[in-house]
Amino acid sequence: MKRERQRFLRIAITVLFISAGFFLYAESAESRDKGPAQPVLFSHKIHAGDNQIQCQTCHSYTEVSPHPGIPSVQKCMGCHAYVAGRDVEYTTQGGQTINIREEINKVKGYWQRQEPIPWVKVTGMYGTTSAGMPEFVRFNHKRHIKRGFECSTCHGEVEKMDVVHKAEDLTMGFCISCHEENADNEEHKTELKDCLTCHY
Amino acid sequence: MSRKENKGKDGMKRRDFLKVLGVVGGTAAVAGSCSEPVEQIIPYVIPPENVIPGVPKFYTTTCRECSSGCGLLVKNREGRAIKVEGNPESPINMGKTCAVGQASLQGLYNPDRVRSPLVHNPETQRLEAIGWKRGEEILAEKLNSLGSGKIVYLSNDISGTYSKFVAEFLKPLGGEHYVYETFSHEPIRKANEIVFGRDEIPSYRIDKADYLLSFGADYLETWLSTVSNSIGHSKLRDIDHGKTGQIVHIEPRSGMTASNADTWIAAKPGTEQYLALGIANVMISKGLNKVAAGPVAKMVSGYTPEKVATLTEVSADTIEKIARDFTASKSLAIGGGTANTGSNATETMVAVNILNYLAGNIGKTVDFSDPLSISGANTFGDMKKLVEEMRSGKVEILIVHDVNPVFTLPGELKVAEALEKVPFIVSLSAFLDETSEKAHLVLPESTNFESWGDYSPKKSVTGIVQPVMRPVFNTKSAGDTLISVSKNVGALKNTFAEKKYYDYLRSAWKKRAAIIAPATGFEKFWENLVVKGLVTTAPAPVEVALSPKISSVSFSDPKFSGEGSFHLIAYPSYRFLDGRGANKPWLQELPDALTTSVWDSWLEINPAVAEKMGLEDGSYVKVDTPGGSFEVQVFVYEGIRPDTVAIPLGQGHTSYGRYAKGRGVNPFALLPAATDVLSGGLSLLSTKASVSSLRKRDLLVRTQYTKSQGDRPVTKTVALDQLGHNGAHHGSEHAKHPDFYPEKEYSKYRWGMAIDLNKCTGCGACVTACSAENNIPFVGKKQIAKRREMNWIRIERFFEKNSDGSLDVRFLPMLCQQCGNAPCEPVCPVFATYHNHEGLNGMIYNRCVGTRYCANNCTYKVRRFNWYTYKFPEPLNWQLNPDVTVRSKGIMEKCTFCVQRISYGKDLAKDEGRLLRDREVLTACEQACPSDAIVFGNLLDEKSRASVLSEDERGYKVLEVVNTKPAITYLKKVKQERV
Repeated sequence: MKRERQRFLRIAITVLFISAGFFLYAESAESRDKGPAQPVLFSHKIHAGDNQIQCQTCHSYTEVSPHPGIPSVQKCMGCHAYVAGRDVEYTTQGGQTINIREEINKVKGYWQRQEPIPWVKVTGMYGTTSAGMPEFVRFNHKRHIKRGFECSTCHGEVEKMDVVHKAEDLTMGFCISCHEENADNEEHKTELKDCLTCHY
Repeated sequence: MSRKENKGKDGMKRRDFLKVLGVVGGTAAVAGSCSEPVEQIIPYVIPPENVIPGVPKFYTTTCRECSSGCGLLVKNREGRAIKVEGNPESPINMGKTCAVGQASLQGLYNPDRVRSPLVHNPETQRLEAIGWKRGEEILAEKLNSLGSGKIVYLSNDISGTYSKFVAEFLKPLGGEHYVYETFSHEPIRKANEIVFGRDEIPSYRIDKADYLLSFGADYLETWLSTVSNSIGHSKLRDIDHGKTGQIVHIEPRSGMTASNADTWIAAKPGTEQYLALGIANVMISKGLNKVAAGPVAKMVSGYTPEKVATLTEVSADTIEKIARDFTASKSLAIGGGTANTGSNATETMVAVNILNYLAGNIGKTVDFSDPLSISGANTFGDMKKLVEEMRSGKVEILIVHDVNPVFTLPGELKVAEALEKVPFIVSLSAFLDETSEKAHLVLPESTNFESWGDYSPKKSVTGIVQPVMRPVFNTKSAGDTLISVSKNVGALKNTFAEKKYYDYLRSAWKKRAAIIAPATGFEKFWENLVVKGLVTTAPAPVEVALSPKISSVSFSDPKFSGEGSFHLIAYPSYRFLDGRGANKPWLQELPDALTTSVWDSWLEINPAVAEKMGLEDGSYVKVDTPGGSFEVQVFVYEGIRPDTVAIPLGQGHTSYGRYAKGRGVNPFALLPAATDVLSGGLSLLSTKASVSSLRKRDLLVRTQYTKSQGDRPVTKTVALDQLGHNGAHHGSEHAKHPDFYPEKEYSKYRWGMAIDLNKCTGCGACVTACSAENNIPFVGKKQIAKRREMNWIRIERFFEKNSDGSLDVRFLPMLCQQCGNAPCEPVCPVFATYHNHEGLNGMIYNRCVGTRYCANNCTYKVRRFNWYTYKFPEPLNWQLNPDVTVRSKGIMEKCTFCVQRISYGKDLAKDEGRLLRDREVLTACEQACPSDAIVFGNLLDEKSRASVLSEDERGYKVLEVVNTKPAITYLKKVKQERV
């Protein structure tokens, strides 16, 4: 019995240390905001939620291109040359505290240095994390927007997120189930079963 | 064994530890996600105007790979040029391209380009990188201190504004401009001067002819304007009410062009002129001539068919028949290639001119109102003089621009030695070739895809050259460099008011616009010019009459040097031209049409001779000529006379980058500086060689080792007089086979293709176009030796026999047949390949696990397997098409009728709520095909061109008996009565 107890203790202590290590590491690497940390804490909630700016104001190619487009630094400065931001503390949903004006100043810094902002990709197609969309998947934003889908169908309620995270897992299953629900006729379903629709 | 006994001393089993670790690791992965790769999105700082990421832009420009000057549309995605197409507005190429044009972006993105200015360091004997400022200073210093010697600007054919610019640059310095084209066709010019008093090359309108008589002119390969010629060839091949054109080709060997003729006549090398004179003799003696013979009658009177037959080894009957046919239809006689390069080349061209004159072709199929710009190039005689001047130290500064005389001038001239005597050589070339390597200073130019310019291939057409992207490397256009240098040279200080060559070009066009379109404002004119890519003018018709000079010509036998028993033909390669294409891997890997050889040189030799000498394909031989010798592998070929051997030009570089260097042999190096007597043009056919076996053999690496199709009728022919007799259509070829499975049903589209074997010339433009569109890697000679080539479309070539026993070369483009009953599909264990609802045989890379069962089961052997993750060395990878997955090791791949283009087209059609129209989507191979042999379309649409052609009476499916139900219909090659 003594041996058994000793064995249990050893295992328990090992588990404790290793998991503590991992959790501590994870905590220090990221905040409790679900999405990945970005070079500038750009709050979609403030822009799209509080200020009611339409998605396509910044992601302006959604209707004309397979790619939605990430706004250029010039576009950011189009507003922020005039909007300096309040010099106040702001706490994100995940509990990070930032100063709004300081974050905007970071954007101005990129503009002054004429550098692009190295955003971290949030909506990869693979799994639940931020890995990018694999090369063998062709997704066309234009077709989906023209059909009348809301951005939120796939991207979630971005206007309520301070730090954007991936709302749906965007695997093939997610695509197929939505397409099945929305198919007008059998022909659409046939197209759906065709791998070449998305993979080439 | 009890559990207790198995425990370790410390009481912790390995298994327990793994369990613990598993739990902890899993939790950590969920909570921390620390091992996920982070991918970034980098936006523009300032977005370029009119660029939408994901939507391609097309820019017009003009191809400068050869002197044809085809109009191009360059597809640009996110700031990078990714594909070249022909500009449909151009009257030269009408939207078509050749293999060389398709590979031209591999020049732009070539990893061996000169990346910054270089200066020769006398201590290390090497070229070392310097900045632009210092580089231009060095040139300016040299120009300022120019002594009593000459300054020479040596360039390729740069007609248009740039030639005027160079003249202005050279004038204050007292310099001379030499325009050097390796194949400048001087004998044609000279003969036109002698016969018609016009020292120029007219437009030869093959498209307007019904009967083409070619004396050695390789018009489908390198002769004058090949894409334009191919379009004409295709028109001539049209079948209208049981009638079609006819082509007779006279040459000692059957090259790609001869192989596409109805009749190939292997006259004795150098005797083509006698044949032409014999034909002219028959015309006059039988009264067939349409124009009064005048002084010509006397010239040809001695050349009776019987006499000519003994001189040329062509029968008298043949000569008479040609004379009759030639005068009975809209005809055209052309001369070039081997007939254009003997010591009597001009005499041959005079004889050819006589034929055109007597048949009344001048002003019809021979159009002097629209001469080609290549007419302005310097002659070989001029070049010889220049080399002598360099050797004697008269040339003080030599500016070399995009020419490689060390490689392309005959070895006897010893150009490399002469260059040693030039005190200062500056190269403006983009590559370090054999000539640039000798330079003291290299100021690398931007390629024509990165700079402004214009080029006029012929009088009626001037194309604009515009940058289609920013320079890849730290380079400048030659014009910008010279302007910048001129500001620091005393003599040139006030020569140019402009700061950039672009401004110079615009001011030149301003003057032109005032004449061409005075009503339009210049800005509007310029915009139209750049959008359309070219301007055309209607040249005024010219009156051409016989010149009295013609009587001065006497006809002589060709002269050969050397004692050997074979005439040595060194012919320009349609892939590498004079060698300038050898640094592009797609061209190296494009199998030669006849031998299917890649990455190498070979010597063509007649089978009878080979047997006597004990030679087989791949045997090594030593070829001895007075100018030296070389060793090479042989290709045993029925299409060459027994007294002749032939070797292609263009290989054998000792420099010029990793893809060109050290492959094959360079025949230029051992040629004598022999000339055509009358024109002074270079004589390539001037040597007799002896060939001796080296008694060793190795694989001559090719993509097709079989020469005959045997008893499997892959390529089929039909006699012209058999057409139109089978009712409307459908012979036994379309008979339905009984099938176990129900017919597949399609609702909107059934993609299919029709390939006309009567039009396909085997030129390989489709192969290179496919590589460029579909990110197909090049794998190199070693891999191809293992049958691991990657091309999705290949040209199959078979040597068959005509009914009279003569050689019948057949070409067939083979690609995935998109079978309705595909053998590859049921054997795939993971459903990576399947038949889709539009008739495509899908190939899904992300499902593929690489069993290769499908490739084993494919009837047509069109599937390709990635044995490695093949690399495109930076920056060649910049050309990759972002709409096509780049495949990696272990994946099967093949043609899917450019499904990315279908998908793109459908997206645009859907915006307008309609289905795709016919011809709205073109596959890459079809779009390039200069002879319009490939037609892709929807077979459900009865009116689509592909449907109509698929129902043609000549239609058949390859290996139909296997019941694979291919979507590709081949149209039989038409055979007509031979001469």
